[in-house]
Amino acid sequence: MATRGQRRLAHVLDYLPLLSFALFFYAIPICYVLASINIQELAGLLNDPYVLRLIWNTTVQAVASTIPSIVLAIPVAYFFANYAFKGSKIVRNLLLTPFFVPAFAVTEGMIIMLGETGLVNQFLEFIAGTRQPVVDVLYSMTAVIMTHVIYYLPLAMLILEQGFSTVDQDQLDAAHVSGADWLTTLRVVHLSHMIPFFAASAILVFAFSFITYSTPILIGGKFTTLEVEIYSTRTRSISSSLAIIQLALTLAISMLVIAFRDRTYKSGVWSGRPLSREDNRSHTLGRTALLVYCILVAVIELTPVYLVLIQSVSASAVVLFPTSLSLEGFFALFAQKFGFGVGFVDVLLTSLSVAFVASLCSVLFSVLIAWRGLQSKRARESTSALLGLPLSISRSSLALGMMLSYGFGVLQLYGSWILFVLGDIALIVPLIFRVIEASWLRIGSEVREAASTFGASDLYRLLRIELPFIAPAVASSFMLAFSSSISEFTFANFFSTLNLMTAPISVATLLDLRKFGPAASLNAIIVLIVVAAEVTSPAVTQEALRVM
Amino acid sequence: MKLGGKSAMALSIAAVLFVASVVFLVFRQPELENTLIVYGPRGIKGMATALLQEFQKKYNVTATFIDYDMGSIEIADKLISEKGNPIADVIMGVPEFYAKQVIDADVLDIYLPPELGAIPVSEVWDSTRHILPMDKGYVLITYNETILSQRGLPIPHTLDDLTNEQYRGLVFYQDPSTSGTGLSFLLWVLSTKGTENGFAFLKQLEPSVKLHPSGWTSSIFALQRGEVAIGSMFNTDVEYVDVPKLESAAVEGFVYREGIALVKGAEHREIAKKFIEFVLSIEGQSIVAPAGYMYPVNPGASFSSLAQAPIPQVQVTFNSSIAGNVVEWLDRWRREVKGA
Repeated sequence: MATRGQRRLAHVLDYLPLLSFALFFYAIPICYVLASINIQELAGLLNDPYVLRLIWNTTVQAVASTIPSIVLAIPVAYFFANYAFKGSKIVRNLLLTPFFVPAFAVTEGMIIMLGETGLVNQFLEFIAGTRQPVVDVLYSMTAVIMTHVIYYLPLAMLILEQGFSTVDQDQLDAAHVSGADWLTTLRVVHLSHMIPFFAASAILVFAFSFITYSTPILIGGKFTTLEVEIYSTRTRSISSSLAIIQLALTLAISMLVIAFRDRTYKSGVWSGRPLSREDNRSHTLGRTALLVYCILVAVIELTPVYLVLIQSVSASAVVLFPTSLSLEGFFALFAQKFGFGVGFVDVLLTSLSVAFVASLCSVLFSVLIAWRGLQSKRARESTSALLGLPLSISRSSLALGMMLSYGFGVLQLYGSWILFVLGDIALIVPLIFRVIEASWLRIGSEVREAASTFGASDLYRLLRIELPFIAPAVASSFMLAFSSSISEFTFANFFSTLNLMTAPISVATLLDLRKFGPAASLNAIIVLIVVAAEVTSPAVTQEALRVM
Repeated sequence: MKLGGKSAMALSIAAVLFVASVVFLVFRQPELENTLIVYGPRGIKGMATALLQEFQKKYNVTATFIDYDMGSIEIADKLISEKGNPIADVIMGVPEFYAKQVIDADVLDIYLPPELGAIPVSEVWDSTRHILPMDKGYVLITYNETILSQRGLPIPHTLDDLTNEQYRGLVFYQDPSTSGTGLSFLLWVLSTKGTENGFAFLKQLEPSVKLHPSGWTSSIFALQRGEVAIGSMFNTDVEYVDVPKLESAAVEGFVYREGIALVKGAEHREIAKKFIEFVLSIEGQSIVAPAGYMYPVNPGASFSSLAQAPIPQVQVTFNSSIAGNVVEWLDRWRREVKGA
């Protein structure tokens, strides 16, 4: 029997990894930025009609991005969870490409699609038999929402698929035997089980949409958001006050979603019998409709990516196909010096190395935090809420804070690759923690209690029960982390020097030098690396599944 | 836990790749001690890189350029915020219209290099000599000739022409909060019309404006795709290879002038002075034009790469009588013009 002191120590240990992580990666850097906060100014902002309008517009846009992203992702997630076919994992992972490639690449694709002379208008003009543009959505809030749906639908799909694929087959069989119709089965078995996954995806999509910066800047036209205002004023104290408001709002909404999740979801014992995937050869009308829907989603998701790739080998602006092919941009990359002797190969190897180290460290941190932080209900609630916070922190504010604290401050890391890795970890852990958390929550407390009753230590339980169970989520998380890191721009932009830079920064350098062709080629290479990571990861994931 | 053969192999590969990555990064790590640190806005990164590259070769010193992804005003504010304990040794790209704030903040030292003698007095815009002229450029009204002729529209010559009803939905000028070109356009309007009339003009113009691109790249992209047809660009963008038929009447234009200065309390003071000398020398000034879109101020320097660019007949410079309010103007623009 554990003494009171031991229980207290265990309780402290539950919070230790999370608090150490939050202190190092967020609290200290943000203190450097928020030091200039002015309480009077903060209070004044809450009565400022301009700021209130910004808050309203940002919230409306974030909600309008979240709902369709999740609703449209449900059938796709259900499809991938229930139907197995050769290459299904590769297709599923490919759908994630828009989320991982640099924002400016996807928005470029969206401009090509939605512009007056773009793909959509040309198609609609053909249908309507007119020579005038039919839709005019580019450079508006609608364009921002549409782009967010393209970005975040795959992310929601990834999380929801985890939920659908871990529905207990025994429960489904029981529902079938007891004569439950499909609606009752959906409500009793699927929906109740899916709540944590809906909550996780809602929190992520909402937070990402709420702190959106590059999308409204690039295709929002006159539509603007709170984050754009934070960025525009970032050397002044008003920026810190706005950042606090943004943080408080996203935290409040995340807490509401988590409270809803914990109120409605009862963690149960997972039987260990995975869902029986249906064979794709058995057809019904519903299945065909689902298949058609998924193909349509895949085409829409991958079109912007295709356009970016095809633009890189085209001598002129493309609509759907290039009029003439050219590899000049790719060849020009080899002759290009991006900084002091930094060539194309240097940039590529640096990007890959930073991404690999950052991804591995991020996965380790996430597992450590989840292991301790999900031990009890209280710790789980705090961990879940606290790791929702970083998602709402203005990226540019955090990058500036890290630059000042660890770059030029206590650690003097400016110019070192370690700073790049730290930045990536700060960005990646809150994202992949959601994936690992959703998987970990499926381990019922009874399993832990049973293991403890038989004398298993926390570490033994982690290695023998929990890690094997969450192994597929860990493998997926690594892929998510690697893809995020390879295309990360904001932090790298702060930390790059003329001696050390990553590929997305080199794209920006080429654009500074007004070399459009090589910039498009390097952009395409980043996209191809992300695609390669997505295509190769199913092998690892499959292995992890086998370990289970 | 028993690992399968494939699991063990996957973990081994991961471990090897991790070690290889760390080894590569450690060996690739550049030495940054005793490095000259130059601050400047992100818009001149290409030019700064080219200048520092040559400077490094010539003096065999290490140097780096930091822009914090900031524009010219923000980076100047960053320098001011570090007063007494500066990170930078030199700041370049300080715009003429923000010089007063930086000089008043007492974060710069006066240094008059011998090369200053070769620069015409008309180019020296800071009478206190804290900020030395480095380069200049011209912001013009440009138009896509193809679109205008297809629609039978007249060519715009002046700022007032932009409010022509026929141009509705075709006009753009960059967001002055994120773009140097956009800021130049705002200052052009305010320098010509005064603050109140200038903002009234911008509000009148707004219904014709389709978008405010965040910078050069998004402007070019919108022009390429025919989303917009008339707007502010640097004169060196006229007939830019990726935007066929981008022209300008070049009747009037705004002169964007920026400078370089020695930071007060600079850690690497002597090498910072050498860098300023290099930037103002014929050798350094000859790098300005090919590496960017600006003109050198040293008449001995070559700028043949910009020979085809039209020079405006009427050159509007910053009206110094309205100096000191740029930050307030930007706030006002976001609130009253863009966010209205």
